[in-house]
Amino acid sequence: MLRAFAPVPVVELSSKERIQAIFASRDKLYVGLASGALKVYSVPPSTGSSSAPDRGAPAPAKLLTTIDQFAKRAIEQLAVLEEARVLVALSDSYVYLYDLDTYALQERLHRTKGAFVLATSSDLDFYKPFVTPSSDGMLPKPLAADIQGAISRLVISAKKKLHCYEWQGGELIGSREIAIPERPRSLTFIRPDKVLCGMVVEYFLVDLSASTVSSVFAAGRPVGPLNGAIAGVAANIGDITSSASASARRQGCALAALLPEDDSILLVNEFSSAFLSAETGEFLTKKKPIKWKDVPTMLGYTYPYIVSIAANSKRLEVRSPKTYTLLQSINFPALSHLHDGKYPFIASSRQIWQLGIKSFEEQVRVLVDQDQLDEAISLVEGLDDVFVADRTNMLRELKMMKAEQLFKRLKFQLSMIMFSEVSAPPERVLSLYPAVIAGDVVVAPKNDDDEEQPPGENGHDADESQSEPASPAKINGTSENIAGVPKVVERVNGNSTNGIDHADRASIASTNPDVQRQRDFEFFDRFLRPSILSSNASSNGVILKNTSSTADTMSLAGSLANFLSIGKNYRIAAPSEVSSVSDFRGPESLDGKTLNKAVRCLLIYLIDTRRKIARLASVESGTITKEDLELVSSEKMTSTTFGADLAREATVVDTALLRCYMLINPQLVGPLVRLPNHCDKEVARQQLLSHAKWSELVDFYYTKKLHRDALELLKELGESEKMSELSGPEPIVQYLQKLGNEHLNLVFEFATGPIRMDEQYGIDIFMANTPEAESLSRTLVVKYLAPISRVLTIKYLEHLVFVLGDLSPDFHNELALAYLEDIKTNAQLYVLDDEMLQRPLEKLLKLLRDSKQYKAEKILGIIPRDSSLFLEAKAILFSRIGEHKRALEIYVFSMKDYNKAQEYCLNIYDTDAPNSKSVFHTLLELYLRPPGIRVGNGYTVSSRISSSRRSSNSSSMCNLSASPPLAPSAFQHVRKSSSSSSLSSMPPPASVPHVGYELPPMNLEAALDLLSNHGSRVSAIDALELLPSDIKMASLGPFLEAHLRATNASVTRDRLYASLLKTELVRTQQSLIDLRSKNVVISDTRVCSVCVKRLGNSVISVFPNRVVVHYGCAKQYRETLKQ
Amino acid sequence: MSSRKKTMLKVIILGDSGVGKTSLMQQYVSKKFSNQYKATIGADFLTKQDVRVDDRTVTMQLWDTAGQERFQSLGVAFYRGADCCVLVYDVNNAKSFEALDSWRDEFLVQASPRDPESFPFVVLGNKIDVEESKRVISQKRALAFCQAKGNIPYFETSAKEAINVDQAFEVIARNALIQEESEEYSSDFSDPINIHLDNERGGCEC
Repeated sequence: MLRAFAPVPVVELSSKERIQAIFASRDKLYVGLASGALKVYSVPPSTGSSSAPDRGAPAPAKLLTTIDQFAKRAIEQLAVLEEARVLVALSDSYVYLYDLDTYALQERLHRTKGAFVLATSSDLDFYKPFVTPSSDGMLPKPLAADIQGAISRLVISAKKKLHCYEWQGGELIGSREIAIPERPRSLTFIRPDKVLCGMVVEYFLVDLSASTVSSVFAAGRPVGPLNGAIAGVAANIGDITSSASASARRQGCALAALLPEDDSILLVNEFSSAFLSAETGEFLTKKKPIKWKDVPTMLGYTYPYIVSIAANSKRLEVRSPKTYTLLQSINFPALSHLHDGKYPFIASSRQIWQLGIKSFEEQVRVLVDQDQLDEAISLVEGLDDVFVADRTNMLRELKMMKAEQLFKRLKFQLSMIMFSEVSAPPERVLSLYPAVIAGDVVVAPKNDDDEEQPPGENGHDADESQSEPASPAKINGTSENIAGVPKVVERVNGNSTNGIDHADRASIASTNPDVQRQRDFEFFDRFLRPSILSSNASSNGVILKNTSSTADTMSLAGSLANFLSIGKNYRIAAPSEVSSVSDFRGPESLDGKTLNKAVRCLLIYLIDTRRKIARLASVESGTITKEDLELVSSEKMTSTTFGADLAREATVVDTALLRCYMLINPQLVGPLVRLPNHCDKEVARQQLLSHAKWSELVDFYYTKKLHRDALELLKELGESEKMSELSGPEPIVQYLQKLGNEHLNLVFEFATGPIRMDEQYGIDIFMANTPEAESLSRTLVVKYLAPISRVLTIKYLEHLVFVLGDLSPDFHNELALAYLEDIKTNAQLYVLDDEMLQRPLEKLLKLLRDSKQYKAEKILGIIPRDSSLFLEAKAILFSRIGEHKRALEIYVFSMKDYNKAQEYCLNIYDTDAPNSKSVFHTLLELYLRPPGIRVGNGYTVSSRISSSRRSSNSSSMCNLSASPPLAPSAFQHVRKSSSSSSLSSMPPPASVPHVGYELPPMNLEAALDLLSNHGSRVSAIDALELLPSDIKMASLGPFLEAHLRATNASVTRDRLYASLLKTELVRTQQSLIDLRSKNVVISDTRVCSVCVKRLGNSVISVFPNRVVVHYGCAKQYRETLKQ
Repeated sequence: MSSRKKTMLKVIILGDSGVGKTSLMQQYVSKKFSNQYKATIGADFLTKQDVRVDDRTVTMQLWDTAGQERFQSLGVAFYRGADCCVLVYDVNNAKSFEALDSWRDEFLVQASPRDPESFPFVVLGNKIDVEESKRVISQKRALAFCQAKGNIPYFETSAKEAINVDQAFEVIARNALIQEESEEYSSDFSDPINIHLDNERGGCEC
């Protein structure tokens, strides 16, 4: 049984005296006797702390004064109005007012004849009602203004009337009477101006300000549970209590107490009870009634408990206002008075006990020891922060203990929801599970590690000790503990730095028996551990702030859970559950279905924790700001849980999640490892390997960027005999496709195998249309591919040049060279017409023509000189470097392709560029004076020309109209020689004279063709000079005609231009004359149109309409014109 | 399992921010579309009453989620008990399509359904009203993805022009209903010993 209150006998009277009334206010206890005497005692303030009994030295009240003739008859009831400095006494059916300081009678309230019961109240009683009693230093003090303006009230029931007196400060400011249907037996202030009157069976609510009376059971109200009891009420009359806010004088009648926790009023009548909302006066049907074992005879509320006196007034009972659990019951000789509220006292007819409340920490400890976790939780939840240090952590620890308890009763879901709610450390949760889930998570709490202690803690501790010189004994007590149980004491001190009342803690430590103290410390050790584990940097303030926001969000999340009907039956377990038998025999005893179920529920916790850690991590990494978190406001976790070592906790959680999935739902392993996760590498590897989860393992490696491991695994699998989804090279290729440039070496290393099997894989890896493939360094890829496969190299280069449009010269050069190599190789294998030779050739020419990037000189240097395959390629290259003549030589002599030569000239010809202006002339020269002839020695040019002309004449004469130039045999022949001559700039001089017929003959026909098509692009004089003198005029006809036409056209154009210019001149002259012909006559009489004065010899302005004005008037006239 | 029981289907809509999750939902539930973009914070849900699925009438609870990472903070309760997961991407935004896979994984981990293989997903390619030239994800590519992930139904929708929205949600409702029923069945069947316990706690699945 909890010892919430420790009654200390403070007053014991002689056997002649009989206590009739008590009232406690501040540090004074007023006792009214049956003889009419008043005794005033001074009592030590009820501090709400561990108080006197624990210190072993009961502090009896000191009698201050005794006034024997205070009243003529027995004092029935006493009350004090502190602010008004008035002592109120009910005696002889009248109410008397006394001065509180002198105890002198001030007034007998005559109208209160028949007074039966009275109650007093002050506005200040309702000043922050949730935080009433405490050690004095911690109370929020009402402001001075509040005290000044506060109204104190006294209500007296006399017959069927309620008298109300009001004071403001020391002034009596008014009184009124309110008629009520019945004589009230008890009066309870529920608001500063509202009184609940308990009758024999009825309750009335009286609004003192509005003077209204309404029945609680009035028609229209829901029928209260009290109704049943109403009929059978027996009104046993006896003496009853008084109090600050409630007073009733007849036993058995309706009792009432205001419960500030939820602002409700507890109504009790015999065995029945009901709750009323203090705000609305409605019944709170949702609150279940209290089940009394004995009829309570007196009822009151002392924060945070309901106190009642029952069993023929022989027992004090203490109940939690939430769970109604009977927490404490103390037997007494017949009790007759209960003074509740801030200064709780009980009294029999001769004795008075002060109800000192024990420290809440100790109460919680006792509840925990008794396994009443629900009570402990309910108690701590209801407490205000000021009463217990680090309340949030204490509550959290209690809930974790509760969750553990639930778990051990196999209520896994409730347990996990609770763990999740308080963001329990994962190690603690996992330690409930067998190794198959928990792995090697440390089961024993880590409390042997001194380094975890926040730096400076000890120094801090010393300071605190010194700052309390008034209590050396306590310090000694603590020091002993430091010697005996060092770790534990550090925890306690750690706690004190978090704002705990050091003295209280120390006093518990030093006065309790050893065993209890040890337990005590174990408890604090436990509930403080999390904060110490993690609070190495966070200051006290931060923790408090975080935890308070946590509490808010917890409730939010809780309501969400409720709403989603997930945890709809989740509530603090009823006390009856507490005693149920546990059949949990350690983590390893879980197996089969039970384990499965436990693991499924563990997912709730793990997934939620995983999410929280991810959120925290994103704050740390700066992707999300704290403000964003607050905006969402569903983060219910504090940095006190995970803050210190987020990464480690994340690993623990994710690894456990992996194990859970492995055990109950292996299909979910894939999604888990594909997402960013913190699974322990070794555990994951082991788990996935043992379950042959190959592709998941590969995915895991990928997520973890362990690419080498992944690729080696894939390689192994790909080569293994067993058929699986990962057989063959495809998986490797697919994996490589996901790697970017930073893993280029890996790509190269593992790509070789598949490429050697099928070059298509190379295309898949290096030429895929993916950002990864495009990120690979092109130079390195080319270097890598070159020795492996030329085909692939060419394909890759083509991809770069044509698809990706890479403009770097290197790749264009490389590609051209690769084509060359390809052609050279194929030339040895295939005949000229073969597709295998023609296709690369075409590609080469296309590249050379289209690309502007390659270095022509470089390629020219590499092209084999003696191969006939590359003639055109060379022509293109010469053209590119501006060597038009050499290009044309190839067309004319080596290829004999005159059309191409002409075409070439047409493409190049440009009148504005000096180099290409003369290109037709160059060609003509090649036709008519083949290079070999011009450089001949010993022969005159003219004789050579005439001789060769003669020979060619004959052929041209006969072939001119009939057939194209040369017979095939001759073609072959000529090509052979011309190719050699075009390659060597100097023909071998010695052989030339003797083999003159072998020299390239003058190609008159081609020349004439050229002249007739493009004659106008060649200077006629140059052409005629080149042409042999014996040429037939007829053959020159088309050329000359074209030339003449062109010349004529030019002349005509010039003439036309000249005529046009002449016309222009005439037109200009005409307009000059016209302008000059405009004149005005200024006579002696002509006046200015503006000022109507004679113009005379002044300067004038003439307007287009021939109006003449003075120069000075022109501006004015212009304006009139405009208008 | 009785058809008399009012069936509530919980559908969760996931996808990158700005793909039109909220718009799709608004279009389906209230036939409205707004051109203004407003980021969803946390999660929001709409309820569509009296949805006919064959001969059944069900209520659909559509959970709209924040695509923006900074607003994503959904507790476990959010995902649990989902009957269908709708993955949305924007056909004009390649990134939103590529993210579908991790949305799916994320959902599976968060919801941890008993039978992940059969859990119904539906993929929606939204914003097909935007001009064709801006489109980057072809229908073919999307279908290939859906096929690879176990024949996920695929719809091309426009919340703006109300194209295919009703059709898509009809399939969503039907698949969700199948899931809901199979779940009831499996939870009763696979854990017969604990039926009583479950009932006591309001039908939790554990």
